[in-house]
Amino acid sequence: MRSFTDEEYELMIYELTEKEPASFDMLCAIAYKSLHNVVIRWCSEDPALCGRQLDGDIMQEIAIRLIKTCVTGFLKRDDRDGVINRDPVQFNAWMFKVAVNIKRDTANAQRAMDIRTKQIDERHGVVSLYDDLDEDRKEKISTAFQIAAGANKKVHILLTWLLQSLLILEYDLKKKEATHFMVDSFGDKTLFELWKLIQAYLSDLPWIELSRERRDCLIKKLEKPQTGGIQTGKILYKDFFMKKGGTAAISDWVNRVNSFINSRVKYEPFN
Amino acid sequence: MNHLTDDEITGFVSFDTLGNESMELASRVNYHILRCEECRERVRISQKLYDEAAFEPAGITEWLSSGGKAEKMNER
Repeated sequence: MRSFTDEEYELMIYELTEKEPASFDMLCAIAYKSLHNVVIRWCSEDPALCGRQLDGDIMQEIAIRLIKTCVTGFLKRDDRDGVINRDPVQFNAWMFKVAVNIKRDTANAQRAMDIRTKQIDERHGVVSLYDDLDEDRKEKISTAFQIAAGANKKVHILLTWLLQSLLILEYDLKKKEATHFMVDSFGDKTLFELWKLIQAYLSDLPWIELSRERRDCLIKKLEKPQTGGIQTGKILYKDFFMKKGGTAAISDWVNRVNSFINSRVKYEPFN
Repeated sequence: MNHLTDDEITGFVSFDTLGNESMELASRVNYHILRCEECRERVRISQKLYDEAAFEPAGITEWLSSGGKAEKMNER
């Protein structure tokens, strides 16, 4: 059963196929109409998703996936020149398939993160899983940290990259696991507390050389007062998420620092 | 017809927020790949590769696995 009208569907097809540049307003509107209540039900029924307010995150991921794959996954799925798939029944099925896949991946990531969180809690002390890295890789990682810490970006963005990278190094987390873990575990921490945690992790990875100059620069940024006189470092991490939400914000910040690192590092091709 | 650049395709398959910049890119890319079979295939392959790597550790290992050797930047 469809939740959208023929008129809405025709407008969506027009926006995707004839409007220049393409527009996704009706695609997103139809997706929201069709899927929002379903996603809310999933989030209440699946133990891995229950009680975490993930319906907004899941809807956003669905919208992004629909935008990315509307041509390759639906309109030109059969890839015949000149033939655009306009079948609303097939569209509905494709849209739901995308949603189911996103829901499954999100639930799996949450379950993996829960297991990892339990493992971290049960751990006595911090033990690096990357002690067997060769010296060349260690030097590259250390360089990345040094570059990242010196990036001309706001301190909450820099701390995010440093902390996520350290979580990945220390606990062998995947990107999405680390992101969700940071939202759940550090949202109510201040930036000073995050910096303290970063320093603790760094002390267990002595081969990562973060210079005194870089550390002092980060501390200076944390001590800088915001409007109202409160030091930046005393602000809660989650207060920087804004309307985007934690996972989207962290993902965006990490990508920005990665782009900065990539732009600062010169590559030589292997011989 | 000007084909999509590698940067445009990389940006398209990897965006994960609904910001103005990513929507502008998505609009341009989608308009183009609906009409260009070659770029459509490039996007399809790139998206598949990106999705397979999506659960890999971010940043550091992506950078390390790029196939290059890093030169240390001089400290100022």
